[in-house]
Amino acid sequence: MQDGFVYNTDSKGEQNSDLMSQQHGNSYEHSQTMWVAAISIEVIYNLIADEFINLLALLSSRGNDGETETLVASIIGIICDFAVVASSCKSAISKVVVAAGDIDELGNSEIDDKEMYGTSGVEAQKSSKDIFVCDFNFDVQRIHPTLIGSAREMAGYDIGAAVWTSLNCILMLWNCLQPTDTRLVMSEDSESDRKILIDDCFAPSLAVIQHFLRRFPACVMICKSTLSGYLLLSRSVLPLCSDGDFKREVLLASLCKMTSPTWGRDESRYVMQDDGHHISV
Amino acid sequence: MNFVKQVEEQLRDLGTESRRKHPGVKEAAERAILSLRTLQNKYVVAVRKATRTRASSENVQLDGDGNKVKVSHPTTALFQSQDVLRPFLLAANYPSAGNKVLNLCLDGIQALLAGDAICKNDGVNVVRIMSIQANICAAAIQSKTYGGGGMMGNIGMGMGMQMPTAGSMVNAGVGTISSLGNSILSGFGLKGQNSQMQEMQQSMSSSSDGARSVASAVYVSNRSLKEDEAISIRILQTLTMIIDSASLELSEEVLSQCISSCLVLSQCSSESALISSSGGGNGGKQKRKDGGKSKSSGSQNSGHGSNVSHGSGIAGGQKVSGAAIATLRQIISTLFSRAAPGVDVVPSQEYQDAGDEETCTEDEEASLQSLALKTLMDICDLAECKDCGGPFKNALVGHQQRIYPPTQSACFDLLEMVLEQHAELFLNNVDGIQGDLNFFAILNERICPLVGRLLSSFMRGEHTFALRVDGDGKDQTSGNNSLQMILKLTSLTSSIIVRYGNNELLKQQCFKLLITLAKLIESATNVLRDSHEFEVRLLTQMEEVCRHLYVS
Repeated sequence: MQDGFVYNTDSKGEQNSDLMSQQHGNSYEHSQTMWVAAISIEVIYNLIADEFINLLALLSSRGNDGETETLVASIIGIICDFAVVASSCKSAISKVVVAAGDIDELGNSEIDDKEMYGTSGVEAQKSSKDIFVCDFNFDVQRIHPTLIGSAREMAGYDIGAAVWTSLNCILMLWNCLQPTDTRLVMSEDSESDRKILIDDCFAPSLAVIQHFLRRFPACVMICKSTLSGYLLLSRSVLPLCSDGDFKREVLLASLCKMTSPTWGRDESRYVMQDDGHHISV
Repeated sequence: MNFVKQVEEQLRDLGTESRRKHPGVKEAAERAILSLRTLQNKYVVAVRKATRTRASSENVQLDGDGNKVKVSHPTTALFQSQDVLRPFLLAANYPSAGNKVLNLCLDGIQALLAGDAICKNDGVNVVRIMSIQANICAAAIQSKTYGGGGMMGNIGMGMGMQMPTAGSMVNAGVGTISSLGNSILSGFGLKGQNSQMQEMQQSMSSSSDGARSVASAVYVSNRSLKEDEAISIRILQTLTMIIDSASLELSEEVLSQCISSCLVLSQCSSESALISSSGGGNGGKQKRKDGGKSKSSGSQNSGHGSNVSHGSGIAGGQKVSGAAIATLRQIISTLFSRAAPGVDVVPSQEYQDAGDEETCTEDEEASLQSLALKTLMDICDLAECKDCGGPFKNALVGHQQRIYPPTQSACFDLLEMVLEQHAELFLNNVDGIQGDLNFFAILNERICPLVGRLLSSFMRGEHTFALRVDGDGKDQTSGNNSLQMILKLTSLTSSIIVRYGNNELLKQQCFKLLITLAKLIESATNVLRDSHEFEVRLLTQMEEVCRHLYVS
């Protein structure tokens, strides 16, 4: 891979022993800063997941100190930054994969699906539709601090879980921004707030989703989540885009880029040609 | 069972039980039975009158001034009499009171409380008695669990906690008793008149001679550890009933005594000190998750079986202390519920025949709001580790032995509970009742800035918590438990944002709190970025992607 480290999903035991040694070696993981950040991410995740509609006005507000960014843009920017920086080394990537879930189990289920598609054409057709169903099954209750009765249990928390939570926090925000969301029975003010949030959060979110898809190509769970992220982004952003809107172009460019085995070294010179329904590089 | 019959039976049992040891109590019980019968006759007359009026379809009657007064069905509140309550208080006042006598007293007091049959101003006398017994029970549980003050002290030190010794607890009990004597006597207006009162006075004075008599009550007590624990739990139940009771005056002294009893009982096990210092809040959370099923949630955090010989005792102590913490939460919650403006106070009595509702007068409401404000200020002060000046101060001072205040995380737990359960009090009290001091102002100008300040201190690294790995490879916390603090603070922040984020006046504070939370993540990102493991090449790639997005 052009990005360097490739984790090995087969050597799970080896990976765990590697993790154990790193757990004691990496001082920053055990530091207070990491814990505080991890807990803060969870709190923000829960606020977005549970109270997004109630807090829409607050999230789209700007501070009294002449701040140009909305509150949610500031927060998502910081979370995106954390997600990228924290998942940019070998040990952290391994831990994110572990935190994301059981790879073998997901892999097996995929094989079963393939067998099923082979036997029934109708079901295969149905399954092909299912690809476009957003599927990020992040169970925050698993690691929510309020469920953690003692500090001893908190010790199980690691950087991988924090990064995984931050990715899901971004996905949850876009899930809440979906126009088809039944919870979003919006007034005009709310609709304009939603547009502001979409504009402000689009760029950092896309950057993170692209980063995760590129860095975790063999982790089924993360790939599913990132593809769901693309889907959520497109559902929220594309209906608001007029012809030639940069967001549409950038979104499609990012997705197309990830489909290619290699994009070349000088990526920025490649420009997507978005001509109506046809996309060409 | 019929209210009168039940109280009479309890009085008779109490008289029989204390016939030999405390003849004064027996005499008082006999007088109380006579008073009860007189009151019963009055009650019957009142019921007949009400029935007659209802039958004639006139619910009004002319009073002495010729005004029309609504005639309602009489309730057991008609049995309010100091004579009926006195024997129970007299008997429970003895530090050496046996298990059976004390249980009869608690039964009687609870029955009277349930029937609203305690005079409005007698609540303070009841809580004083409860405070005495709470001190004695706490001391007894400690000494019986840890085998005496010295040993207990050693264990406390061994676990890294400061534990009050049994002896000092006893002294506290004596101090309370000696101060109680005159107040009860003057409260009843019977000082020096009755023989039972003289006997009570004698018992008070002999108690206040020194710790000996109370000490003997603790150490040579006939009560077993389990009996002391059961009585402690019943005392806590009674305190809750007193605070709940609409017919009793909820004064600052009543509240202080209740808080004091809860704090004393919460410190009766060394493990509980850990709970109150670090996990009390979690216990509360757990309780909420359980739907309030487990009252002594703190005891769920047990798991230390190191002291094998006293294992069951320690578990019992934890049960009591967990219940005490839960009761303190309940008391604070009830206080704020009663202080809520325009809330109709429904009598709690189970014997009430008519369902007429009582409503707090404006004066009562103002006084309750003032008390709630003082309590809130105290909790804020304690959360800031400052000296407080309201009910908590009165609960903490005046004892010969130190009662430990709730810890910071416990205070944040209380604040979270109040802010979550009584949002209307904070949102509807913008104008205030005491000049500039009002619930909204406290939230806006004290609680939110305090939470933000403490969260920021984690960013600056002023708080430290260390996670160390023990010999078995299990992680354990050590040092000042800031981890609990950050959990409490983030939880409180979340509650404030959820409850008050929509409010225009508090929007700015919520904005600041959310930004502070985000800044905590930002500082972690900076730490990671500075670490040797971070691959700069990847950041360059990310920057390239972002640049591409923005350039486009």
